[in-house]
Parts: sequence; structure tokens; C-alpha cells
Amino acid sequence: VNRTPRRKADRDWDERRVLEWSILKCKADHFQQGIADRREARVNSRSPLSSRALRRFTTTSIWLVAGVMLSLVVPWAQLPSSAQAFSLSTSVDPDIHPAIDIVHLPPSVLVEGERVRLEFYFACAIDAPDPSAVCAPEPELFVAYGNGPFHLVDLAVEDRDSLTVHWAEVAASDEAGAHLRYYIAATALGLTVKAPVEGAFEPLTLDDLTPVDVERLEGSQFSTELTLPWGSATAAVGLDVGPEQAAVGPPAFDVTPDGLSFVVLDDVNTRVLILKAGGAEIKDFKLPGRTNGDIAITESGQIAVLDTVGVISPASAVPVPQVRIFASDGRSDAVVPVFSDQPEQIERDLSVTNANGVNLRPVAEDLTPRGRIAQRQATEFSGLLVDWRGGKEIRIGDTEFARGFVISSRNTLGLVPEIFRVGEDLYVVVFEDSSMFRVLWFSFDGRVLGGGTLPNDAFTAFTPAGRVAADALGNVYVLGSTQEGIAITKAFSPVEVQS
Amino acid sequence: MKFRALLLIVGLLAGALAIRPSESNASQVCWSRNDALSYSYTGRYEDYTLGGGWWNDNNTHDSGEGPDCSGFSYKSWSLCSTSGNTSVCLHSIGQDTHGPYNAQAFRDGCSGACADVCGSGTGAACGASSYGSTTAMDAFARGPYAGSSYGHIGMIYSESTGGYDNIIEALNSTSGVVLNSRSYRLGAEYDGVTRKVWVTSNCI
Repeated sequence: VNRTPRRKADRDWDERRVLEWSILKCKADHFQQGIADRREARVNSRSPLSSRALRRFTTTSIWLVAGVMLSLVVPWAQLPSSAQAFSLSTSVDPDIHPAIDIVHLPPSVLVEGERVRLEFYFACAIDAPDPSAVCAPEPELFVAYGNGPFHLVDLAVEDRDSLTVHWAEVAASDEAGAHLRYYIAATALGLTVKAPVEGAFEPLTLDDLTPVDVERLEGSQFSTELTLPWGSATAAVGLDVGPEQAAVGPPAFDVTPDGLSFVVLDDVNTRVLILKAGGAEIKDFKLPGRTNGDIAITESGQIAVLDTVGVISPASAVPVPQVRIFASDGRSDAVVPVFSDQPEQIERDLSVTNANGVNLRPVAEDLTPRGRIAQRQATEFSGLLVDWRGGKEIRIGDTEFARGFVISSRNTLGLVPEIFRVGEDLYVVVFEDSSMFRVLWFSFDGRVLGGGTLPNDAFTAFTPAGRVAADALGNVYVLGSTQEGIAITKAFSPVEVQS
Repeated sequence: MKFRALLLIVGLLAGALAIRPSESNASQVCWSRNDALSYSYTGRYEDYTLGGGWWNDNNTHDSGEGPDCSGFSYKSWSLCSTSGNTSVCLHSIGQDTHGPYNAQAFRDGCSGACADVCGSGTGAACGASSYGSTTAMDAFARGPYAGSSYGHIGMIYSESTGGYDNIIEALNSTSGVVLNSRSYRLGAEYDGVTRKVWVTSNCI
């Protein structure tokens, strides 16, 4: 250690300071001792048992108790912990795969004056190696009526068997009869997302619903229109089966309006099959890859394929779903990106319905593709809507004619993969349960016109709406699969429809 | 003064230990359905590998990447490698672990680590009227079919339109991990199962 030699003046100054300090210390000790003596005298005068040890014990106890008391007011639960440190993934897309997914199934058919429960929860695209990272976005629900301003609604929180659900009950209409509009916002780590991404959910709200009372759905014959074995030959469909995976075959099909031809999305063989009833005149054309999606014959006779697997593109950090439009000979007419989370169904008017039952139009009236922003603005509840309420009460809405129906039954009718309207007045609803499909035909005034049943063979996984179709006469077709192959069965409409 | 400060700190710590028995005594990490949802959400768009277990979160199919259906459920539920253990065992998404259960084992209750849902009993379908009996991150598992030991399992992500379920599942090697509307709750060969214990209290 290098020490700098100190000057004598410094040493003298130090010695003087030590001396002064000693004198002060002595005075202070004397002063303290005096205080202590006086305290002891005071204490001794009150309690002959007290002693210095007792005082020390008392003092120690007081400080310990103070510490314990302080611990009661410390908000331990709110203190940060290392397990909560995380960030949101950047491998996301605001429309297709948001960083914070607001999981919410919006009600689609409401009645004026009723109250409706809106509930939602969250999933987060957490970008953290620590899987114990906790994502708890701050939720907000904004409600408006008609063209009025949005206002914030208080939310309740419910723990549903360890699922945290946020909810609020709101009126379907206000006192003036204006209808509900709402959106949900969620904020975490400085990021705010919204559902829907643009605009608001606007359920079809009607002053009344026409009741459709269903006792039994039986009768009506059915026939097998087409069977194909598994395989890769022209007159076969592909099957992808193996351990620890779903069995996959054709996920969807459609029928021409005259009911004489079918298109089958042969996904495993990456092609579309075009067949006549009975299996004659089979044609096919190739697809660029698997789609895991849906297929439809458009109003102009083209074949539209919804590719939910999507393609990587500069437009997004996730694969973008596509609608591929083909001429009837298989020539590709257009490829249109779909900026939507979980598109499920392609309609004959080229609109796409997502898993929430919300409809978007990726293609403009002149068949040109819409961009991302334009697609957000063209997202709404439109066409035929289903509001499934537990299977014994199902609401059906028709935005084109502003009609609403409530189908009720003493027995569970099943899940609803698809609804059709034939012409202006005939509605067809298909119900699925474990063993069969039930078909209900009813008129615009709620009269039940007939019922029918079809087998439900589901050896492979299907897109629910993709395996049901109807022709222009109101006949209903269902795609089924067994270990041998696929079959398309037909339930005949009990109503004669002018084609 | 230092002694008093020391006493205060000792008291503070003693108090903290005394009033937080539910947290400090916890020997395991919390794992709620919300946690499992977010975890599974990171797997979406990733690849599938039979017997595999790891994935990243870049939304592309990388070589060797991906869980199979049962490995995806095992990791999303944070189950442990010891059969029947109901504790929470965290696995990072990049950890290449599959777990001891195949789809059939899930359907049969994971040696006690899983429980039946829908009230249908182990090995029986849920059916169309079972919606009120299931919650997000319950799963539907099917046992052998096609005369082999093949099985499949997918987890409920949310309710879909028409009463169907949005299922997040490691589908197959072509599609990878996907989120699709499915009718598994109707299938006679599928049974509803869930993690036996979701840990949201007495945990850290």
C-alpha cells in the first residue's frame, strides 16, 4: 500500500480533533448517563421489580412487534417477482393472430329490451422462456346505442374453475330503441388491442323473434348420392392417418344448385374433385398445397377454395389465409388474402365467415381483392346468423330480410353447422348430434314444414359447416367418412320449390 | 439505533412468514387455464413431429420442430414426467419433452393426473348437451381406431359459432398446430378430459 507522507501540521490537527472528540464524547456520556439515571429512578419509583434487563426486553419486544405490524401493511402480492417478467411475441398479426387474443363469442341475434351477457377472456402470445410468465391484460368494454357515443362499462370478474372470465350484462337496446354496439379493448405491456379490430360488434337486434316449436325431427327419406374409397386414384379421396394425430380426409364439399354435381376438397391429395352424383364423370385439378379449409360453388359457377393453412408473405408475420378462385375447368382466376383470425367457411357470394360467425368480404363487388384495412371495414354480422344457446333454444337471424326466429325444443336439438334460405321464404336448419344429423325445414312465418335425419359418420375430422350443403330445391347433403371411405348422403326437401 | 433497525427487520420478516403461509408454504408454481391458453397459443402455426416436444414461436415449420397431439397437451397443461403426478412442472416451449402420456393415456385419465369431464365417465362421449360441463383447456381425446393404437387429443380453446368448439391441436405433419372449429365433443370415440388439478392457490 502506498501511503503519502503526512505533514506535521496535519498530524497536529488530527490529534487536536481526537482530543476535542474525546471531551465531547465524555460530556455526552455523562449527559446520557444522567438521563439514564433519572429514567431508572423514575422507573424504580413506579415498579420495584424493573431492572435494566427488563427494560431491554421491553424495548426489544416493541421493535419486534413494530416489525410484525409493518409486515401486515406491506402489499406482498403486488411486489414484482421474476416470474412475471415477460414480453409479448412479435410473431403476430393484428388481424390473424393478435399478440393479445380477446377470446369472445359475440351474440348475433338479440331482442329489443332484453339484457345480454357479454363475456371474454384472454390468451397472450408470450415471448418468454419462462413459462410461468403471467399475462393479465387490463380489459375495457365500450358500449354505444345506435349512433350514440361509446361509454365505458364496469366489468365483473369470475373465476370459472381457474379460468378468469371478464363479463358485463348490458341492454340490447336503450330506452329510445337504439340497438347495441360494443367493442372490447385490452392493454398489456403498453400494447392495446381491440375486438373487433375496427368498428364494433353490432348484433342483429329485432323487436321480436318468430317462434319455431320443434317436437320431433323425423321422416323424410335419405339416399346415398356418392361413395369414394380412400386412396390417391382419380376415383378416390386421400386419407392421412397415423398415431397421435387426427385422421384427416376431405374437410369439405359443395353441391351445384341443381343437385347433380359435387365438388370435393380432396385435401390430402391436394386437389379438387368434380363429380356427378353416383360417381360418374370425375374430373380433378390440383391445388398448390393443403388447405384444411372449405370449398364452395359460387353464384357465377366458379369454384372457391378457402385455404386456412395460408401462405407466408411479406404482408404478415404469420401465414395469411387465402381464397383461391378457379374456373370450372380448374384454371386459376384469382387468389385473395383473407385478413381474419380463424376463417372457417367460404360462402357462395365469396364472403368468408369466421369462427365467431362474423362475416367479412375479402373480395369487392367487382371481384377485385380488398386490402387489409378495407377488409376490416367490410366485417360485420350479415346473411344468415345462428346464435346457439345450449341446444334447446337456438336463434336464427336473417339480416337481408331483418327476420329472426327462435327454435325451441324440449330435447337438445344438437349443434348447428349450417343454415340455408331457399328463395325468400324457406329456411333449412341442420342440427348435428353424436349419432345423426337432423334437418328442419320451416317457413318465414315459423311453420314447421318437415324434418329429416341423416347418418353422422365422422371417421375423419371435418370443418363443421363444410360437410353440409343444400341445393336450390332445399335438399340437404351431408359428407360422412368411415374406415372404407367417404359418402355423401341426401335428405329430400318436403317442400316443392320452384327452381 | 442499528440494533433497533435490526429488530425491526427481524420483526418484518417474521411477520411476513407468519401472515403468508399460503404463499410461502407453496411448493409449486401456479398454473391456471389462462396460463395454459397462452402457452398453447404460442404453438399455433408451428410444426408437428410424432413423439416430438419442442417448438419456437416463429410461425413457420422448422426442421425437427413440433409436438405431436399428446405432447402438445402435456406441455400446455404443465404436467410432470412421472405418470400420475398432478403437480405443476413447467416446460419452456423450446424444451424437447413429450411426457409419458399418449392420447389413449389421456383418455384413460393420465394414470390419475387427469380427470373426466362432462360426467360421462372415463371413455364415454360428451355429447351435444354437454356444453355447460366443459371449460377452456379441457380436452377431447380419442382412443384407438382403424384397428391400431392410433389416437388423438385436442384442447378446447373457446366456444365457436353453432355450439362447436374451437380446438387447438397438433393436427398432423402437414398442417402442424392449428386452431379449428371441431365437433369432437359429439364423437362417440372421443372423451372429455382435463388436468385433474389446476393450481391457482397455495402457489407462487
